[in-house]
Amino acid sequence: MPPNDLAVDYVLGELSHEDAATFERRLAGDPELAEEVRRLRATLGLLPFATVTEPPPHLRARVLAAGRASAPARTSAPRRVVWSRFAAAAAAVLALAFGFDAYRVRRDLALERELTATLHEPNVVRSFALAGTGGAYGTVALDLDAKRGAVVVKGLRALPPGERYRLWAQVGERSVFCGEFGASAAGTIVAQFPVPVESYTAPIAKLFLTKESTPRGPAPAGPTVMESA
Amino acid sequence: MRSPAPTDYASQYLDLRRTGEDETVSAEPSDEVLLSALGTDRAALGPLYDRYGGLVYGLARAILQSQDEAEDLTQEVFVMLCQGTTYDVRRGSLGAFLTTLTRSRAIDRLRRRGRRLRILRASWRSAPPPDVPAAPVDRIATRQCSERVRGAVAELPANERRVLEMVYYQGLTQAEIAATLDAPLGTVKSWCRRGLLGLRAALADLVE
Repeated sequence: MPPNDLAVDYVLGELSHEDAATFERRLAGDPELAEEVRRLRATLGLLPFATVTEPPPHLRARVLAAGRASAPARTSAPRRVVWSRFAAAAAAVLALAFGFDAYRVRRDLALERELTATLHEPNVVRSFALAGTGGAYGTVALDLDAKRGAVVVKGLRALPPGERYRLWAQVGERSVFCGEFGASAAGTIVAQFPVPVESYTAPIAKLFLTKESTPRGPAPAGPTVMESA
Repeated sequence: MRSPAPTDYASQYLDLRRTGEDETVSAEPSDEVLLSALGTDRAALGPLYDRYGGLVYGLARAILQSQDEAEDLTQEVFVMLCQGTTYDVRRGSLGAFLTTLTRSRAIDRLRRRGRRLRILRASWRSAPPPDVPAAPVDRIATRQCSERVRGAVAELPANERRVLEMVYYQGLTQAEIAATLDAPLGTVKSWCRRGLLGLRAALADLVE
């Protein structure tokens, strides 16, 4: 397929995850193509300007009244953080776990900028900081649209044979299985996992990592070693 | 679109800036000035609404296909702006920020309605890179930009326009569009490609 056609399919989200990943690797080595992708995205980003519509006259007073009545700047961070600092962190997690050489790519192509832009879209990517006993820490990023997630954890204990770490999402009253991992000898997990969005029937209350020694069942059996704030 | 009101506000927050390539000088306060004032003075919301209300409302309505819901969402978006938003002027134009915010919130609402939404992919990928300073769109008024984009869209062959709208506002995949239009998938794909490439060519000066 000609590169431009591929770029259009990529920008329109028509590529499979595998093809998109392949294309992203190609972008990393082809600044011209990356520039074309940027232009196509920007073009798509202009489409809303075609829908500019004079709002009904009463709406102005209503919006201004609601603005006056609204509380001042929030005091706590929103649960769903997307702009700026979390996006950068989540971008790094995704880049690591999805096999980008994040730093090289960043330098060469500013793909990190694009990833960050990607992550700016609220509702698409959610990131969770995990903390555990013994100083383990990590981040999980969920891209609900691409149906994939990534986890990076450091400071875990390596497990004896027969034991595994399992990541779960608490969704309503249920625990949804995310993935099963071993930790490296250095106590690190870097992995990605599929995200079956249809399982997420309610907002994610928290993510947690358990240590398991039994075959996987529908719910965690072992102790929780890390969980999101 | 209502033109921005040159009220007392303007004189209070006078900020001379160039608004276009014709180098005309405007006495209207810049977005940045209005936004920073908004934290302490909600009167700054008026000019911002006048500037972007049509963009936010129009997009909300195009996606939600409901005037009531579009009004609710418009209110929600501007209230968010009042509540110390996460908008960072260094990361791109306010217009781009507001369309991103509006689109994502509209999509959220559609999701709650249970509609299937491939639009997410298209929309997040379309978000302009955040740290590109002063995209040309920043320098021309929303109304002018709207006319340009409307014109370019109108120039597209009907099929190309139609499939792009189905992708963008209805969140359909090309396969779904093919089924809906009873057209071969390959044809739909080439309409999409030609449509987007055509728009890119027509709006080249705005996306360079």
